[in-house]
Amino acid sequence: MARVELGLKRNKRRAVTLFLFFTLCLLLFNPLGCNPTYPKERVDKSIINLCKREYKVDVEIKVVGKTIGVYIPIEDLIGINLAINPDKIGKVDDVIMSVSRVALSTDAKFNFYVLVAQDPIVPDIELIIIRNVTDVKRFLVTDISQSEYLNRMIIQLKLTPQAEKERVIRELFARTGVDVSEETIEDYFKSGYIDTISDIGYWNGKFFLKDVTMGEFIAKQVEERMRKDFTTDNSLKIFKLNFVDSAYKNGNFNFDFEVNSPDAPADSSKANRSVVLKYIYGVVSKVLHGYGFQDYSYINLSYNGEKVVFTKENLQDIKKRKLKVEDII
Amino acid sequence: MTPRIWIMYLKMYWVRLLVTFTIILLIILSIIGLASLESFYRNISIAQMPFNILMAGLNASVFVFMYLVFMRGGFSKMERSRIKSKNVNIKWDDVIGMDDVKREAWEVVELIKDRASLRRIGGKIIRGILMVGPPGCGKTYLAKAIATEASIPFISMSGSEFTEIFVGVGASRVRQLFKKARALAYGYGACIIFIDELDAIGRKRTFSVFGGTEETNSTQNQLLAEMDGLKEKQYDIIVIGATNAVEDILDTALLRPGRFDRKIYVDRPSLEDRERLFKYYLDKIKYDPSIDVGRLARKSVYKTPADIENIVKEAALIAMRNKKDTISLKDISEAIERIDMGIKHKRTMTNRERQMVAYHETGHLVVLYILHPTDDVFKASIISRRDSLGAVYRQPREEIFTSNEERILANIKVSLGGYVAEKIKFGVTSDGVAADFKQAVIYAHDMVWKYGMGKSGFIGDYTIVPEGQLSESLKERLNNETNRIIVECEKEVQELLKKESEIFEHIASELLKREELDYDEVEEIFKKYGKSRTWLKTE
Repeated sequence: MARVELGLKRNKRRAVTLFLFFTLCLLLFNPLGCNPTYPKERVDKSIINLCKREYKVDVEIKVVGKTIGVYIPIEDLIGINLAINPDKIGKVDDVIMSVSRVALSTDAKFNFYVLVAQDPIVPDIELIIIRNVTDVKRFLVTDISQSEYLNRMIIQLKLTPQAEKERVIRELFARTGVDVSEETIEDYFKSGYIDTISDIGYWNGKFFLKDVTMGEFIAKQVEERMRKDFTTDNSLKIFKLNFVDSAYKNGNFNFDFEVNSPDAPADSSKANRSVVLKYIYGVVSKVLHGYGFQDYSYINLSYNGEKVVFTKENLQDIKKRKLKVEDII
Repeated sequence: MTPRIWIMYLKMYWVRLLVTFTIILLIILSIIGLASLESFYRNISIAQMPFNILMAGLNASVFVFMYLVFMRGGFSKMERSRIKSKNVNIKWDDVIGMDDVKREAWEVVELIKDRASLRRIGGKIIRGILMVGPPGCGKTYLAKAIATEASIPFISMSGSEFTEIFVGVGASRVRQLFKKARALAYGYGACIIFIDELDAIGRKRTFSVFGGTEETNSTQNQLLAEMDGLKEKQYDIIVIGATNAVEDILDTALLRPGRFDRKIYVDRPSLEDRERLFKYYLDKIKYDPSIDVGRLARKSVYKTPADIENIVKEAALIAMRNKKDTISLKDISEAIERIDMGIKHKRTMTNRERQMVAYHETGHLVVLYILHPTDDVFKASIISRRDSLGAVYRQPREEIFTSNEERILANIKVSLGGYVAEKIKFGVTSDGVAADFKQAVIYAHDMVWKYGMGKSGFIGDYTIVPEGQLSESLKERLNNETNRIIVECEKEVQELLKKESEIFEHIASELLKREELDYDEVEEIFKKYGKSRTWLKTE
């Protein structure tokens, strides 16, 4: 009996020691885990300092809602063929890395970051990169593959929207024969308000940025995926995507696109239509499912002017095999 | 704590200290490393930590399991390699009874306590104490009490823990044991090593002509070497060995002075000791104060302290099963019966078979009651227990360490009682007499061949003479004498049972009716016929 009691006492002592040890470990590790490296009050400065200190790059930061915007002027970014100069891609990557680090290790809950890169000599063209912060986290913990991670990133090389607007305003004034002053032009851009993420840009020292929403991001991502797939996917090589536009408004997705197949036989248009619409459905469904996005009612497809509408319930029924895509299209 | 104690701990636990220091260092380095990470990567690392620890633990477990299964022959070996250092707390007064043994052991305690003055006058402390005696008599308990009284550390190990299939493992464990004891002796001035079941490693060594040796040989050699080593290094380590085996079984090298210098015989408790033991164990539970502890002690002849503890425990269980708050004499009696005779299990027998068993047992009972000079009936039963169909349970009135001719002859007669009873009652006998005959022949054979109790004048132990050296005529005469004893006993028993046919029939019919007769019931029947027990007459 005495032996049993001794054993019990020893076990109790061991249990207490282990408990104290783990409590101590938790106490030591807990504060380390809780303190953000980049507090939300200094996010902008942190990115600027990081880019300056580690990559010798000067950037400009703007934060709108849960979106961080980074403007980076890179000399010779745009080559003479109006394409990105490959030698300068490294700088863009460095800045993306810096923004990612800050976005991940801050207590500010950012959803997206937007990088706008311009060649100061040709500010009319800009490179825009939009990333979802959760995608970055998921990639780092290998929850998504690298190819999927790249597909989820929006990369666009396009005319700076504000440059286009300014050009239109100037042409309008020129047509009316009125001299337009710089103040007048500035008045047009004073509010800095932009409606869609397509309008994000940097013009005349002003950063035009909006808080990116998940709906907009998904719509734009689908658009980008379509652009890419119609040029690289073998099953779609007979088609040519002439035009694509996307929007997310009032809880509805709108995808407007024009596809033709110049080399296809004349009697195959119906089959081709089915292939294209099925593909579009597949991409939309995959992206929505990938983000678990539910905040929508309809998906409106405009295929060469023909309207096809999928409701949220349709998507759920197709997933549960209660409905076929063919039944909708 | 003195510096010596610190050094002792350092020597004993340097591996643990090193491991602890390394773990703390690694934890600090981990914290520094984590602190240098950005919070996201730090969080990921911390989040992955439990999983990584789990995986590391799982991998380690799989590795250890595979290692033990394939390289060491299973988990049991791991358990065996353990050395137990216990905080024993058995007080001297907790050792009940065995005053002589305690007196001897107390000398040892005093020697240990006074070891400094003993060394001053050039004396040497006792190196080894061998405790010999039947199991359950308190050898381990006494060893612990010695350790407590002497206020020195106590390391206990069983002899079987040294035995391994792999040669050298046992010896290595002996080295480990003494290494630990030396470290403890360095710190506390002395240490007791208690090796239970010493015969497991202390048996006489065997030497093969082919030069091979047994594992136990090397283990024992190591033990001998370590015990010799104690003298050289002046470490006060006292080795206490305990064994149930007789001394002859142990190797003489172990028993020579300088190894196990002192032998203490821990025997079964005497009547007074049993009384005190019953009192001690009953005081720990609730019992009926009218219980006569002296009577219990008389009922438990040859019982060891462990048996008595077991009886009280079993009685408590029985009382609990019967939903009683206190233990009564009946519960204790039932516990004794259950322990001694086993649990009843009813077999379906034919009426004839049942009658034969009843008369067979009655034969034993009547002869035992009337003729036996020392033993007493404490129960007769025709209910099956273990592998017997019936039995007459008996025990001597008091411990008897020798048997005279009268007692042996009485034993033979009691053994033959069953056979004679069957013969008288049914005219035929059953094979149930085989065990009785075996017993009777052994007694008679030993009387003639070993004890010189025959009437033909043969004196001496003829069993030690090789059979080939005994002439056929001698063997014949000895066997004839053996047979004569059996025949004469049988005749005497037959006469007795015929003479006491009334009692014989009465008891048999009572047995058939009640199936069991207790001490008091048997006594009552005999008293009714004006009979009293032999030992009462001879007292």
